[in-house]
Amino acid sequence: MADPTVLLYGSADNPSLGLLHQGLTQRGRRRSLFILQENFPFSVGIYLKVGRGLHGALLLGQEEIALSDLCSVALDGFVISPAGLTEFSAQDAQYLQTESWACLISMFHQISRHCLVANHVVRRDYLTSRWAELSLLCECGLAVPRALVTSRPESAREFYESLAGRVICKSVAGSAPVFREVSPDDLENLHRLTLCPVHYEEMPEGWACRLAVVGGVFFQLPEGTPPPPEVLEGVTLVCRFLSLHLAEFSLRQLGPRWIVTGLRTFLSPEALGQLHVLEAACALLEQEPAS
Amino acid sequence: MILLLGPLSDPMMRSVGAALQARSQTFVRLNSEEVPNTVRFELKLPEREGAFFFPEGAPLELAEVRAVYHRVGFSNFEVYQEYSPDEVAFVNHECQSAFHGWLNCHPGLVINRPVASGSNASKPHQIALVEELGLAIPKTMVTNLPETARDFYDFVGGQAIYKSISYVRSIVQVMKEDDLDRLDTLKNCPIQIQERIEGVDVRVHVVDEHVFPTRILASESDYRYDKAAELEPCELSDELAQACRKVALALGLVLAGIDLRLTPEGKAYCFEVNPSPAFAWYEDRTGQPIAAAVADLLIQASLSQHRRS
Repeated sequence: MADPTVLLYGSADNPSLGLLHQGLTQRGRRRSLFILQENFPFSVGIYLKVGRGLHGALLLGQEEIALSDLCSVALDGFVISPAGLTEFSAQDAQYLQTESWACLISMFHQISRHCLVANHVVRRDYLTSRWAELSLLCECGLAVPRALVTSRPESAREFYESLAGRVICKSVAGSAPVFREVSPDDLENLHRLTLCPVHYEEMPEGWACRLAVVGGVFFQLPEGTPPPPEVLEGVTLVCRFLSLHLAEFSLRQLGPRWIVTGLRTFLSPEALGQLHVLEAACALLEQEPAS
Repeated sequence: MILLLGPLSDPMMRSVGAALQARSQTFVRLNSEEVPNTVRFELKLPEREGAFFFPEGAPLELAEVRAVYHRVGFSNFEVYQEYSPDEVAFVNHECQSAFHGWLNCHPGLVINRPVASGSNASKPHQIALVEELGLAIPKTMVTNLPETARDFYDFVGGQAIYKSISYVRSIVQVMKEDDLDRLDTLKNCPIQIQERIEGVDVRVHVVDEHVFPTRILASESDYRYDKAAELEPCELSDELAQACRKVALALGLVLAGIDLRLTPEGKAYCFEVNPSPAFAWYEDRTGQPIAAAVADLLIQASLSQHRRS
C-alpha cells in the first residue's frame, strides 16, 4: 500500500470538510486529499471495476490515487451533489447530475467495503422529509416534538389550538431546516392547505444543546446536564441504522424530559471548531482500514 | 384493511385491484390524482397515526391499514391548470415526500417500501450488492476516462455493451469500433460498460416466496424495445430460484423484477433488479398469476396482527 490517504469529498462551500482537512494536515499522520465535488466529473477521472475487491482509481491531473490506498473517506454523503454543469441545457445537466451521482454511490459503496466511509450515501432515502426524520428518531426510542403533515385545514387548526399557538411550519420535503412561526393570521388562510400539504411542528422549548457523535463517542455542546442513557442509546441506534460515523443531534431539555429536535448527518463547523471534537474526528479518519 | 394507492390508470394498480375483487376481498383504492384536495390527509407524530379524508363517508384511519400496494413513485397528484410547471413539480414533490415518509415507517405490509428502491439509484452499486448475495454479474466498468473505456473494450474482446449508470432508463447499446472514436465525450459524463453476455433473457418476478420466471426471446440487446419479443413462462433451478428470493429479501423488496441472462452453458448473470416492476406487461403475455400472488400476500397481511418490515 502506498501513502495511506484520507479522502475528503464535497463542496468547497462545506466548512466542515475544510476544518477536517486543516486538522488532518496539521496532525500530519495521514495524507489528506480534498476533492471538490465541483470538479467532478470534468477534472476528476475515475475508473472502477464493479464487484468484489476494490479495483479502481481517481485521476487528478497526472496523479493516480488507487482506491485501495485510501484509509478512510469523509463526505457528507447525504448532501453531496455533482456540480459545475452550468454550460449544459437543464435536461442535460439533470441527466449528467443523476449519472455522476450514481457513479459516486457505486464508488463509495465499494470503498466502504474496504475502509471507513463517514458518511456513506446509501441510507439517505430514510430522510426524504422532516416527518420521515422525526419518525425515524421516534422509532429509535427518542422523544421528538409533536408534528403534523396535512392538507386538511381542520387538522391544522386542531393542532394549532392543542399547542396554544406554539407552532412552527415548513415545507414537507424542504431539505433546509427553514421553519417559520405560525401566526394567528395564518389561520385565515388554512384553506390553501388543500392545494399543497404543509409540515407543522411544536415550537421547541427548554435548554438547547447538541450531541456530536464521532464513531461511538459523544460530545455534548455546550457541556451541561448530560442526557440520560436512554437518549444515548436511541442516538446510537439511529447512527447504526443510517451508518453514520459522524453525526450531530439537536436536543432540548425541559425538566426531566429530553427531546431530540433534529439530526444532522455530518458534524457542523461549530462542533468541529471545538478542538477535542476535531481531534477525535481526525483520529477516527486516520485509522487503519480493516483487513 | 388493504389500501391500493396510486394512479387509477396504472396497469399494476388495476391488475392487483381485479385480483382482490376476484377474491371478494374488500379494499380501498385511493387515486393519488385526487390528493391533496379532493382526498385530504393528516400524518401525526409521535403517534405515527393519521387518516385519509374523502369527500363523503368515514375517514380511513391509517392504523386500520394493514397492507398497502402503491405506485406512489409513478403518481401525479392533484394540480390545477393555472399552475406553472414549477408549481406542479413542487406539489408533486411535497405529496410524494409525505407519502414516502409514511410508507417507509408504516407498521403494516408495504409493497414496496420506497426506501427499498434506493439500490436502484445506481445500477453498478446494485449489482455489486447482488454479487455479494451470490448471483453472478457481468464484468463491469464505470469510468469517465476514454483510455480506460478503450482498455475495457479490448479486455472483453470487443464484446461489450454500454448503458446508463443511474435509474434513468436508457437503451442498452452494443459497443462498436465506431464508438471508440467518440470516447472523449465520457469526460462530460461517466458511463457503465459491461461485458456482453450471450444467452437468453429471463425476467424473474419475485413476490415474497413466489417466483415467476419469464423467458424472453428477442433480437435486440434490450428486449424492452423489441416489439417482436416473445415471452413465455419457464422454469428455474431450485438453486437459482432461491438466489432470486434471497436477493429480493436482502434488498428489502417484497415484489421485485430481476433481469437475468442464462448462457448456453447454464450460467445465470444478473443485470438489474427492478424495485417497481411493471409486471402487468409480462402477465398479459404469459398468464402468470403475478397480481394474484400480490393480492394473496396483501390479504394474508391484512389478517395478521403482526408488524412486517
